[in-house]
Amino acid sequence: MTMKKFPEKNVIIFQSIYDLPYENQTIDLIWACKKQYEAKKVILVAPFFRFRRQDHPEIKKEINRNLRFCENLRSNGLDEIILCEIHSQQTIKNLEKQGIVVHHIKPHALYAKNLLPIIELSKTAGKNIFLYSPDKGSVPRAVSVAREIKKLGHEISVSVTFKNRINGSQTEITENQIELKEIQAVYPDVKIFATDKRIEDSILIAIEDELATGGTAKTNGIMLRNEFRVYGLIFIAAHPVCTWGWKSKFIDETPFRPILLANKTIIGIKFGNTILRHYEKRTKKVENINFGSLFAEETLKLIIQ
Amino acid sequence: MSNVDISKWIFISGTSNHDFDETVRKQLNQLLIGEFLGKSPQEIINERFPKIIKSGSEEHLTPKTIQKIKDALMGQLIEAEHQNHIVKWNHLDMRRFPDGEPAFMIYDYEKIPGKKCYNFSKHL
Repeated sequence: MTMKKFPEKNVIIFQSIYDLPYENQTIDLIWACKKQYEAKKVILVAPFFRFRRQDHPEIKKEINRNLRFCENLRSNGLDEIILCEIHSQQTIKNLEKQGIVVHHIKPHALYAKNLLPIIELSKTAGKNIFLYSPDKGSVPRAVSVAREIKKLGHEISVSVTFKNRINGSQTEITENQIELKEIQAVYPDVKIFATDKRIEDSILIAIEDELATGGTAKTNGIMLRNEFRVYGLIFIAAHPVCTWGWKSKFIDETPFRPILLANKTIIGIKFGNTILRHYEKRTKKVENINFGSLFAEETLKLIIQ
Repeated sequence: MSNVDISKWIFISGTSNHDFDETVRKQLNQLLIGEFLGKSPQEIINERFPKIIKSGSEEHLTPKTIQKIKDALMGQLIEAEHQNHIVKWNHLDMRRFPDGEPAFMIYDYEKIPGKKCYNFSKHL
């Protein structure tokens, strides 16, 4: 008879899965706790989750590594998972399809709290401040943050850029009133406008789930500075993936440089600490947003359930 | 006082992001003590030390410095009075065979009382 090694014990494994060794170690630990020591329940806390892009069942030529990894986690004994600001809903669907209970943390209330002093300083300095969505796909995240800011007593509008593809990778900004009306109808409680002269001399806050090379964000930032003469740009990303070459692309000559507001300096780039980085010390142009409290609260919920 | 049974939970920290895991652990401990006592460690410190001043001086401390002092007091409070209510780390070796194959182990697995964290001390 197999002896129960973790009788009636639940195991919580903390692991940010951003590389192959961590993927392998996670599988080892889950399997050992569940199958070898027979834990009652195994929960994975994964601040960052691998294979976030390879999750398209419709792209047949692509190996669906997201689904493969979700199946792997389940077959090795995972019962529940805590994720944060996931790249797409497909990961959640894939995990739930396997029977894994998903707890998804959104850091938008934390962002709102972090942005509050900046909003107040911008008012003192007489500068308009907006959330910025570089395309319609990013609107839901911007709206969610706007709603959290509203809860703290400040109204903030969302500027969304509509683009037309001219040829290849070249695009131009357009005013798509029909699409704007459709988006506004979905989110009637937050004012949304197509990027125009209103953003001149203002402060814009762009919020993304991650920063990889930073190329697109930098191009957008330069466009906003050159075409609309914005006063300041703030970039927030939950996951500092920071692929090779990101520093020369994104940090050097960054459009998200520190902003002077009412005699205070505001750092223009803010990263979550879901992946081990120390760029705030190395670059002095990055500020960390500590996600620890979000994960502690979610973990506590599981313990007291 | 809440009846949270922390002894049924085992916490394992992988090697990917110890700094982050440690932050979560500290915050979780504060929340756990809050659950046990019905008030947070911060509230307890505020009650026990209603005023913090710089000894022998009229000089005022900044709010940031006061918070740092309170955080240190909170650490002492947790250490002295709530050892049995909190999540702790245990350090483990991170074994590897000469050919590179991982061989890390969960030592003393049978003795784990359920409220310890395993912290792999070396990178993979």
